[in-house]
Amino acid sequence: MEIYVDLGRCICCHACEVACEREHGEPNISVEAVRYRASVPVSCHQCEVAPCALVCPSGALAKGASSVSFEAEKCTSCGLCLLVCPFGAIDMDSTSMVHKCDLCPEREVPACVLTCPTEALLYGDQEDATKELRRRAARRIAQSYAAAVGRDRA
Amino acid sequence: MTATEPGTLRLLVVDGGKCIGCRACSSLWPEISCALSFSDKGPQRTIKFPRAFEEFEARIAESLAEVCPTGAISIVLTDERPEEESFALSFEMIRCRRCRTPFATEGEMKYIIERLPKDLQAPNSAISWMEICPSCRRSVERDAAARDLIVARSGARR
Amino acid sequence: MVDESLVPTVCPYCALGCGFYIKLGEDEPGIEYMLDHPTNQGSLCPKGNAALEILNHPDRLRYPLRRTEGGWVRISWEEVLAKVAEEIKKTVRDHGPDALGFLGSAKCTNEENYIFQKMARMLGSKNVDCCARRCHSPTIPALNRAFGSACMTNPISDLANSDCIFVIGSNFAENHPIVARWVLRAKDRGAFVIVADPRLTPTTWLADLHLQINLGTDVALLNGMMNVIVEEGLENRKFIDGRTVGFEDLLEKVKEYTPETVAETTGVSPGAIVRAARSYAKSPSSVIVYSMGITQHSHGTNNVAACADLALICGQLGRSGAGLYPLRGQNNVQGACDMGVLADFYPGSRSVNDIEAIHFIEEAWGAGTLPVGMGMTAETMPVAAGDGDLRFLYVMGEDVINSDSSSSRGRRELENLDFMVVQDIFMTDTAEMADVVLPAAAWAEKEGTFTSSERRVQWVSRALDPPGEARSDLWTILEVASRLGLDFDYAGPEEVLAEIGRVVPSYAGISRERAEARGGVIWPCPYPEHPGTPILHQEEFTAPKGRARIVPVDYLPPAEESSLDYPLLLTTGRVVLHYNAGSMTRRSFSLMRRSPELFVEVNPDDADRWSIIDGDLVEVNTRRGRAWARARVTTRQEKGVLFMPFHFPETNQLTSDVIDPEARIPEFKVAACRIGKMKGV
Repeated sequence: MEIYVDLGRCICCHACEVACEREHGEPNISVEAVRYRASVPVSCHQCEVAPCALVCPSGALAKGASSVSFEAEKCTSCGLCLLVCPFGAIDMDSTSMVHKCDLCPEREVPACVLTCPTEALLYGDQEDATKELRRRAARRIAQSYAAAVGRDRA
Repeated sequence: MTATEPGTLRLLVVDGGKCIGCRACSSLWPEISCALSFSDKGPQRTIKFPRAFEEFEARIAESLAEVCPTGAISIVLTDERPEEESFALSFEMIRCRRCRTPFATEGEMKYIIERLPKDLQAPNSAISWMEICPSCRRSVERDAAARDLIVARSGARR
Repeated sequence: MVDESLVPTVCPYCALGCGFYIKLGEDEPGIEYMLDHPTNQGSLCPKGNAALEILNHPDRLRYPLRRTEGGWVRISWEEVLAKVAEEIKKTVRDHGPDALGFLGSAKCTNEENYIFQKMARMLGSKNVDCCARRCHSPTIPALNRAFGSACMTNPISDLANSDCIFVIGSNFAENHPIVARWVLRAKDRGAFVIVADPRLTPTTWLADLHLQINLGTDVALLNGMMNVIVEEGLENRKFIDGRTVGFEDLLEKVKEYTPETVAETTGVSPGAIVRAARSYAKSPSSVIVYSMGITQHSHGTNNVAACADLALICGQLGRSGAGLYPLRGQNNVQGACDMGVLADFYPGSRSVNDIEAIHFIEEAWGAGTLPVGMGMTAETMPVAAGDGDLRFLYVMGEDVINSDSSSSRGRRELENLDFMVVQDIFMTDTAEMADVVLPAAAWAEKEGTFTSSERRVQWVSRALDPPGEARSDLWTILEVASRLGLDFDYAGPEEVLAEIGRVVPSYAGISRERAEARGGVIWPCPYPEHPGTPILHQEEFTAPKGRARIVPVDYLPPAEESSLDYPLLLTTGRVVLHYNAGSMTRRSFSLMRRSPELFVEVNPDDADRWSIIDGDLVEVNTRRGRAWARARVTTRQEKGVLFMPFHFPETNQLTSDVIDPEARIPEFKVAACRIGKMKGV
């Protein structure tokens, strides 16, 4: 189970950030506008082969069944995980404590996914999520063609 | 460690060849952040170490040796109080290729690259993310992800 | 099984009325998402997510306060209530009841607002109003004239059923994010989205067609679209003949607004105007979504009228997927208006000039004679204070100073009052000017109903205790009223709601039980078993003879143009992380850390011309004042246009005080200005 993004729906409202921050103390997801024409949320990819877990000297980061788990008690704040994440998805708070997305294990569905006003974040296994994304994309392609041609839609 | 003897100091010895300039030791005890300090000024990172710990601080000294990812720190017992109170190690940091902000030491980058899977280590595999800072990695990811969308949206304006 | 540690509530910020749960039981209250709410389906924008941050805030007012020369002094409720009553009596005795002014709160409950205006009018004062004046006041006369009633015609979720969504003067992606949810659902079904906005916003990101119009040229655009529609025979004849009057006059009017002429005025290409017109008219179900970009103009009423005209001639009203969406601002601005906290209306949209209607109210209230005629508005009260005609002002839950345009003048005027009472949750800039300050309970600390923009009436239960000695606004007003000889005998908000049901026909079937159900009730709900009325105007309009009136309007340019001294035009608006005057969001940590300061968006060409680079601290000047802001150089707006959010007090020092002649809303959206680097910084 992972978090997927339907980029065309992200409106850069930061609700996911604020929700995550409230639930965890620090936000583990961030959204930013690109060229003021689109917005992209970034959070831990829960990589299959996780560089952060490979590098962590204390074993605080470990690859689990469906996510990369983080145990704060084991963290030494060495900061090496921040440097090895290819996506810059791991961060440190003001006390040098590492934090990253843990898919809200205490919830059935992560808070960011529940709160996203536009359903830009999807949570599910790869098949379900990508099926939904493809379904949405297919309809949009059909429509933009119709609009371009100026077709009557009755 | 041998049993403590009265009046024994713990000398902190750091192997400059092994120290990679990470944040582990300086983050462990915020209470002694004046004595064991970590600072980035421009391209230079400086870690200042106290030369000796008192006997009652033995636990602190030992934990510093344990936390070091490279085993660069060792503790030596001594009766002689050293002349210097502190010593420092300096590192020239690597600048991010995209924003020029110094973001890591060479030692840190070497440490992490060594631990990546073989196929990700190879120099030909365009691992340009290694040359940019975490913030720029996020920006690059965002740019790449949004590219097509931006092009599509730019067509909508009249 | 109902989890008692989860208290259902409605978000206190905007008018979408999103539901969520306040989670009790741990150290600090938390939020749980309400997945079965019909409007937001569990989702919440960043403000909703941060809503609890202002409840336990150290700045909360806890005790009644009186101003003395040495500063604020804490006094008892007994003292302050006695003082307020005394001042009211004194003012009535010395100057008459029309020297009293009452500004209600679009953030307080229906029950509180109802009692507030009842008290004011039973004291003989006509001067009752609220912040709706600054927001959708043009919507009220324009849609009353057009349809007979002035509100959103279809539910928010019904946007998903539309095939063409025409957005003009609304940045809903930032200001009503949940609207974007439903618009995107419509897009999933293939809907075509047109957005007219001078700026690039997250709302324009969703557009298939973005019309980047010049400031204040909306009527030209709308008339231009209607010109095309009529020329190409795309109007809905059946609807026009069967359900409207006035089409012939419109036909005449729009003749001159050819796409080529309109292109000149609006800066939009003729081709785009034609395309927008065709899409809107030809689609099986089209909607128009509008907000402050339409209303906050010196000709705001005309702007709304033009929107209504477009919907009427295309017959895009009265069914699923077809409607008009004035997106209202405050969590209870719709309710406050329904309750008659308006200088031109008694409860239930009864005109203050309708003697017969007022007789009905007199009987319902057991009152003698109630005042007839238009009273002072939220904009004219400060002016009257400055002139000495208004001597006493009671402000319930609004940061008036920072919400007014040309706010420095407003400050000077209010200083002239004999006595000002402010009832609020924080010591806002307005409260700082008061003679006494009454600490109020926040939304989650009291109970009552709130009416959202889609006419949805929802009961909110008390989840937490107010801090210190803060009391609900209802309690406070009833206490004041009892000291004025007004016999208001209500056990609690339920009884007030029952009376509201007897006085406001649309609310007649709404009880606490109905309002407490998930999603409440959408009015009109004329009797208890009535299911509510999500879609209006299905068979008939509420206008005379059931026919809507098409009112042609002319394009008028904004009141200020650029000049040599003020070569740029400033437009103002909102950002997603903040809310209105900012008294709540600027105290909210997770919002402030993301949007900490006032900024001004400048086009790169203008930035070059005045040697400004991104990040500079700059000064913006208008004829009314100056403000310092952080420059953001961006191509979001065209050369010649600046944008500043009004969540920070300085912005409204700059805005224009020219008002719409009918609705009396100031032209917040256009002010001639200049910009320059701050020297020595």
